[in-house]
Amino acid sequence: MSLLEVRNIDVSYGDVQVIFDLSLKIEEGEVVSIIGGNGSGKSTLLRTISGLMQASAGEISFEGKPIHRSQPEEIVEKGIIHVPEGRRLFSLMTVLDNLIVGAHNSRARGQAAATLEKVYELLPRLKERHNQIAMTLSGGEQQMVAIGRGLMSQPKLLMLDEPSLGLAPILIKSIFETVRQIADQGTTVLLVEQDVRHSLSLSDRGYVLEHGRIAIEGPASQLLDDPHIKTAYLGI
Amino acid sequence: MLYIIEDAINGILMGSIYGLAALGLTLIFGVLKVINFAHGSLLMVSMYVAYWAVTLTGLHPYIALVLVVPVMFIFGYLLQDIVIKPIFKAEKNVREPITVIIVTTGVWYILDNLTLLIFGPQYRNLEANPLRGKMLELGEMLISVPKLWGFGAAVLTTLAIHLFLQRTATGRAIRATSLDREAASLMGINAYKIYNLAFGIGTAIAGVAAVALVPFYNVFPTVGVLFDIKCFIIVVLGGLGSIGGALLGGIIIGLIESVAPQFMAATWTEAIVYGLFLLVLFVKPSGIFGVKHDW
Repeated sequence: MSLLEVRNIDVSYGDVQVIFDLSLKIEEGEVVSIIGGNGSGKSTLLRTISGLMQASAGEISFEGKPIHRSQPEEIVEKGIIHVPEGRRLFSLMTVLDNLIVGAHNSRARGQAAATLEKVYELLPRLKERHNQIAMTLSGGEQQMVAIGRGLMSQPKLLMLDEPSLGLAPILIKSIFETVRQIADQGTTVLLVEQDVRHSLSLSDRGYVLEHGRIAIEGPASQLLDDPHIKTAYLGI
Repeated sequence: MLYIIEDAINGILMGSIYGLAALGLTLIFGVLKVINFAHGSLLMVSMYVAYWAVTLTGLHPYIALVLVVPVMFIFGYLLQDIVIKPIFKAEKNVREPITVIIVTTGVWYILDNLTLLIFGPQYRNLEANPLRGKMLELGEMLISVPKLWGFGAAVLTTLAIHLFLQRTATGRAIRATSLDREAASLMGINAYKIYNLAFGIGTAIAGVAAVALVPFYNVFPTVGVLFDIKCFIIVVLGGLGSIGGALLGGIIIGLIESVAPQFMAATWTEAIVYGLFLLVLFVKPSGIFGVKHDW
């Protein structure tokens, strides 16, 4: 049984269908990348898994139980956390309050203090800035808060939507290093990225999404050598 | 000079009670992003609950608090859950659904007219209550005792709500939802529950204001309308969604209403209040304490 299984889902915004008959599987402990250009349906896929959107057809199951009819907050309770595109921090709250809100679900709430220590260990910058209002942080720091806030919920599956978006190259490197560390500590990670080289090099497997369909899938190392990916995404 | 100081003090006290009435409105707006046009009517209902509780039991007016606050919390909670929530769900993708404003206006008319139907148009007041007309003598100045208690209630309630929002898990969840509903739901927060809760708390605060008012203020079916307009002005002055701003905005309005008649015809005070309201809208539309923030 896979940790997450998406079976033949269709997703539309009103009349416009964005995802077509899409299936994917994530095993426990894996790091999986979903890559693809703008408008390929990457974010929509994550929004559907986390319950913000409903699939019009198909099924999604987590730990063997269907979740495609559940509300976002119920899906969080089950252990899937979605760190959304553009970070979506609680802008006028402090870093610490943002992190504490991350531990809102009943599994994580009781252990919030201990989880906070772990998050500070992983992202020491957040400890320095804990009293600062989130919107006054730099982009890279905000992304760290967003990831830290996700970790506070004690996720079984951490879904990151373009964590490198809008960051300087040096920060992108450190964000990806953090993601690698999170995965090494045993959290399953689903990474959606446009930065194909970085995300594939830290992933076990990858899916290439084109026009709402899976175009290519396979082990990450194999995808990095794929001639189509090289020309279309890596520009080699 | 002494009169002016006396008026100023009484104005600050009365204004703080206006601020208390507006506090619930600003809290509900801050979370739901919708102006609750029924807020004055909820204050009116609270005043009737307080009035009858005191009249029927003969207890001290302030003891009504233990009844009015929970009753109004439940009333507000259910009102949001049963009447308003379905509209939010139907307009899921609209951030500030205007239909909700229309629904709250409907609630306002229904509550006011139901009250008129049941209790009639007459003005009622707690005639024999121990606080009525009671004055504190400060040298030659006379300070209204029930207004002084109302001031205390306003300051304490404002402080309590502030601490609740800042320090408790539920308070943080309310703030998170008010800042980004979708991101909050991604953190496992049920936004509709938070809406119910915020509406309940906002209505309960109107209950506190009602208990402060009842010992010296007339109760009648349209009393809410008087406060509605004041509350809107106060909330805009102080900053929509700002907890401390409501109290400050209330005190400013109270001061103008009580001090200005010393210098001009009393009817002019309205003009000053609305003039100030327009000025704030022109100069700092987010209000005195309002954060420049994309609601």
